[in-house]
Amino acid sequence: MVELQYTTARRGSVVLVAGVLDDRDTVSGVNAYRVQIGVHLDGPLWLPSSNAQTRRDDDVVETVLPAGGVRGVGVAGRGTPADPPLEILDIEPTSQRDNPTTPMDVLRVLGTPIPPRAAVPATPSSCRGLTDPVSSTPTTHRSSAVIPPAVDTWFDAVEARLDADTLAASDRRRLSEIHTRTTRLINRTQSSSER
Amino acid sequence: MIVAVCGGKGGVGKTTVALNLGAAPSTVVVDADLGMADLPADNGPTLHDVLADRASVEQALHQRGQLTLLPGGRSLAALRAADPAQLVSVLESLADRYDRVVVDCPAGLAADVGLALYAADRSVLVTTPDHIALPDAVRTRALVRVLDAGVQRVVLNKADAAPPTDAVREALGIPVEVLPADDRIVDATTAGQPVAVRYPDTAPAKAMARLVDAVFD
Repeated sequence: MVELQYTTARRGSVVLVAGVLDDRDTVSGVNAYRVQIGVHLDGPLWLPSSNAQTRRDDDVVETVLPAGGVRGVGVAGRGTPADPPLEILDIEPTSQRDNPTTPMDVLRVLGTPIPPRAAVPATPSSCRGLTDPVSSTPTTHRSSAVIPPAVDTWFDAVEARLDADTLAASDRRRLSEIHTRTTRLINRTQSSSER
Repeated sequence: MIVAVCGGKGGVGKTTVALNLGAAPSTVVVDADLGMADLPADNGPTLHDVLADRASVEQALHQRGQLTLLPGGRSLAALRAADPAQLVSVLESLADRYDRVVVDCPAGLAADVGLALYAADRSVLVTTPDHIALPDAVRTRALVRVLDAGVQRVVLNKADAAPPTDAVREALGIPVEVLPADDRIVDATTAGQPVAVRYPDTAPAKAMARLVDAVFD
């Protein structure tokens, strides 16, 4: 049986919530549990970064708990915690622990090797002679030559929020809507060119 | 066949092993260190540009003597443009054209190592016989196991006259090949050449040949 214990602590204006998942009774045939935890804190949240153990989506954290094991989950926020601040929403037995099955799983589990924006020198000229000819072009990301400047600027802002771990729910919705509309337009374009 | 050359610790000789494996016929060497390339390009497109859809794989291949190389890039700005997940499809596309794809993995256990191992059919675990590098080799082996890139050989590189071959073989359960600490290997790697090309018929060249045969067996 999976139990969730939690403690809360306030540091200035920030509330820290520490949760511990504990599977006390191992069940035969179950290697691990996929556990969804709801976070009940008012205001902006800082959830764990997605990594080997956790995924996050707005105010829900999903983690894989090895059978018979213990796993910690920590969140922080500026609002007032509800009682309880953490709540198990769903528990699903899974035979899989954290074994990646796609390249994206590998990235999720091990973390992207892309350096944060702040780590990239703003003036490539300071490294003149050290960069290779193609890569030293002033392009900052792959599509800036073809994406309209206003859209490009917004993408940069979203990317910066992603790097800073402050991506908003509205960002996700807008990205999803853009993806949907872009896909529809691409499909229409292809259909049109085939006619 | 995609072979990942990995090891955990930096400086243990992954690039040396990759370069020498790359001397086999119909083989391409890929520098998969996305952050700090060990086999950078003198000019022209690199792996970064391929991963950013700015160059094709064909455009980024370089010929250095008998080595065919897909070099890594050294520009962090270019790396930010890259999609690292594409590394897997790049390696798979190379495997369609070459008999062997040798991937020189970076140090550490980050995703660029993981993606190479994900794509790899087998791997080579390189370490030096010391108490600093060996634990990292054990950690890397755990990642290899998760990603199912079976370790064909452990390489004890820069070995002295009495390397702990048996202990490493027993600890890891993997056959061990020994490469001696030899300036000729270092010099050949610095020159970007397989030791068998720069110093043919020497003891280090023969040791490397045994390793190449074992890995590609």
